[in-house]
Amino acid sequence: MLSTNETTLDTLKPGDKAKILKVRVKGSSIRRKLFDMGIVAGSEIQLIRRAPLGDPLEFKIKGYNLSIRKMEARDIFVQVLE
Amino acid sequence: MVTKGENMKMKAHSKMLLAFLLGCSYIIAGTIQSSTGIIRILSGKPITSGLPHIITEALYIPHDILSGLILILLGTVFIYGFMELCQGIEEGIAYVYVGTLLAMIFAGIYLLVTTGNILEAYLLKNEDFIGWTPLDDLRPEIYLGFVSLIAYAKWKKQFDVKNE
Amino acid sequence: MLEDNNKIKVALAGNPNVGKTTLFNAITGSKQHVGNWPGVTVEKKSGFTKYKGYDIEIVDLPGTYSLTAYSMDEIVSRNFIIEEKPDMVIQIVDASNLERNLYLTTQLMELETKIILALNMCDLATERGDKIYLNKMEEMLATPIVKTVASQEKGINHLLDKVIEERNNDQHHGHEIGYGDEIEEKIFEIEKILANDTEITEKYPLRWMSIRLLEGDENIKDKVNKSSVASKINDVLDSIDQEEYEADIADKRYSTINIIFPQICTRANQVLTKSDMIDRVLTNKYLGIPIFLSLMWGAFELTFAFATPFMDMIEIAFTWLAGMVSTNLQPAWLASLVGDGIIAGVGSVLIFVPNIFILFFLLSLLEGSGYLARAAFIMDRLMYKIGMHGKSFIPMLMGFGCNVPAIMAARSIEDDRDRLITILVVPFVSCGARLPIYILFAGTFFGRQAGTVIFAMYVLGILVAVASAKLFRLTVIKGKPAPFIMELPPYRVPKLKSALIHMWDNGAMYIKKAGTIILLGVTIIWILASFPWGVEYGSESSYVGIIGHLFEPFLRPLGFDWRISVALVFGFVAKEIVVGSIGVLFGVGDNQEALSQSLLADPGITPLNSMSLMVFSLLYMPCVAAMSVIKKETGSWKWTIFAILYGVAVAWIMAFVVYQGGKLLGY
Repeated sequence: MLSTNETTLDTLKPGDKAKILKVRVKGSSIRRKLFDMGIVAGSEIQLIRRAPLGDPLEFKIKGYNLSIRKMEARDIFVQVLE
Repeated sequence: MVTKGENMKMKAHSKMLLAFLLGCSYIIAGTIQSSTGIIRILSGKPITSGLPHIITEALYIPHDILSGLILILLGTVFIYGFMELCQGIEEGIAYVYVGTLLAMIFAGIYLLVTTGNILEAYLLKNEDFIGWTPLDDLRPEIYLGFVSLIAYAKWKKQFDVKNE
Repeated sequence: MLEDNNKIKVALAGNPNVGKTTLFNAITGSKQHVGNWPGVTVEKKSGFTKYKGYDIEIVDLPGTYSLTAYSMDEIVSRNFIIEEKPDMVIQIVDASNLERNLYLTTQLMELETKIILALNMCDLATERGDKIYLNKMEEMLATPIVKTVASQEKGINHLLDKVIEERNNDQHHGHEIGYGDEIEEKIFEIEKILANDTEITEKYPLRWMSIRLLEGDENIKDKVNKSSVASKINDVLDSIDQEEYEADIADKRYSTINIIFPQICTRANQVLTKSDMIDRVLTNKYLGIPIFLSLMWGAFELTFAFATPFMDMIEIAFTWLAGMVSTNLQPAWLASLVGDGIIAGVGSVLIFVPNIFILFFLLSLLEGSGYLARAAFIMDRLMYKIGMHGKSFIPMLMGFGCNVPAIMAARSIEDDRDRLITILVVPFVSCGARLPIYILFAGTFFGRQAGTVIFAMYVLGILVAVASAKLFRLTVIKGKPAPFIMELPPYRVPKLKSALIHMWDNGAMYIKKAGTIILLGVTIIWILASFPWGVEYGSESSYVGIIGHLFEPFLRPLGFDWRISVALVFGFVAKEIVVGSIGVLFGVGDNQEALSQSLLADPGITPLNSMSLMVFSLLYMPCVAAMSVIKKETGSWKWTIFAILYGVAVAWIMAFVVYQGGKLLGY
């Protein structure tokens, strides 16, 4: 319940579901793009897989598949859902 | 319920068998294709005699490293699916499905290449193509691809089984 | 007046990958016009259709997820809606992905334009078991909705009926999103200030503009800063925490959608779809990259093997034409201009048309199937390391076939700097036209090692491209590649019609180039090779020969004499001409065997010279066709000239190192 489940998006394991808490990505245009793609607080997100070379990551959010680099995922705070 | 379950199992079995057989065929053909390709390059001359010659003539296998590697890759995709299905992972069917798709794509590519050669030989009467017949272009990619096509046509509906 | 009444201007908006192009093609058929939006290299497509006595013009806006000014596409789209005031906007909505699609709808509504939603891909959604309550949706969004299946051209007439109905409907409706008390208060405050400026009130929807300002939209801020109310607006904006507002506003839009969504749609339980299944295999940790490479290899095999007979046909046609001209045309100089100059020159460039058509056709199939996005996904890590974006990989790869379509394919890269770098390094990728040069010289001078030498040329090209990308990132185009925030669309069976249209558009563009810039280029070369009057074509005493001598001191340190210099000048038209002109200059014409013999016999050409020549030919300059598309795609002479000079500089240095280094080592 508490902060034990809190982590950043890049640390999820494939299959993990999480709820987005805060988007702290630097750079307003990148942040806005993330918002546009549905990365907003409260959204549910699931890590599907990592690319064959380990980066970027593929997520399922709002019913579609989205890919983001680890670098941006690192600044997105989430709560892991059981 | 029981019958349906049984039915599903049987289908899974036949797909496993298909994956295994196609996987092995592709890997064997690919290995021969690549290794004769290596021999050809190392020796610096075409292979015209001996066991490799007899085998490759009989099976219409060209002597080419790269396309041989692709055959091995296709075989690996099928075997990957076979192994997952063996472990009871249902999603393994995805590998069989994509394997047949890829097999058909490569068969299509070589059929189009043959079409191009037919144009060269019979329409343009290119000197390089004297004595060439379409049969010269027959290769494992094409005839094994037809096996995949038949399997795909037969199982087209069932590959969608997850959508139910 | 009456005439005007029959005209309807419709903008087509929507997310990428929702079938927008398919719908556009279905409505307009072949009556399309492709061009660029003024001032930017974003493609603008418009088309016409006549329906029930109305002339309907459809403008296809770029596919966007939003209108928040993240990219040029978004700015172009919203400027069109605001400034050109189309009668209405049709938004294509992917029924199988309503939530994200409705996000764009909420933004379109704020632009205060009439909207019709075309609910597309209903077949996919129903197949999946989703249920959409159309009446409820129309009511909640207060917007007319039409079901379409663009891929089967279903619902098109119904949609056009609705367009006419809306045209004659003066009532304006639309759903407005409430952003909560605090934000609404600010919106109201800004709206009031903006209302004092008549120029702004005439042009822009005030509420929309206020929201954009609160979200920190630079593009809108610039506009306001030029107005009479700039200082007052800035006072208000300085008093708020922009970042907080930005997040809250996006949040509010999605939460509004979250309230509406469950009432208009029940989604079937998420199961593993066919697309997910395919993705498991194609992006598999171990199999993903080999499968990708094998598909690319297959594409090239097809491009070249299948194109060969068509290339032969073109060659036969042009040879016949040149023969006709040289025997029948009088006077002789005109026959030479048309035969040796124009027909030979244009022919040598047009011979690549089959390659280009096939490459574009395959590229379009890859894109339509959804695999292109996966290719970028798979390769991004590697590309990022060399300062490029995952999306740059495909254009670079296409460069091995022909640099021209490769440079054009860089359009798929949204970020301007990423795209520029890609365009600038593609010419170093060794295209098919350079192969004859390697075959001649490596074959003549390196015997059994010829294969290795040719392979080394390809590797050198790649290394120079990679090193240049790195160098540009550190100097002229500073910064990191754009973030990789990309949708991976579901796999679909690509549409043949779309692929053919795409192929034709791009192929036709290339042919048009051949008709203009390339024609000019070959004419200039012909004049240089034929004058002063009376000299033998391309001989030592012609202007080309004189230029060759002029360049000789510059090229001497690389081991080239005047004849090679001349051949390199010709090579600027198309690199495959290099071999032909060397043949002419060595007095043996087209016969490769004889050319090999005379090269071997010539004391001026050693294996080292030929190595240096191969390196120089690989790198020195894009051909006329490539240069003209660089100009077109960058829209800048500055970068075009930079590309040429940089190429020549790199080629000179590398060839110098090879030649002088080789000499030092005693070769």
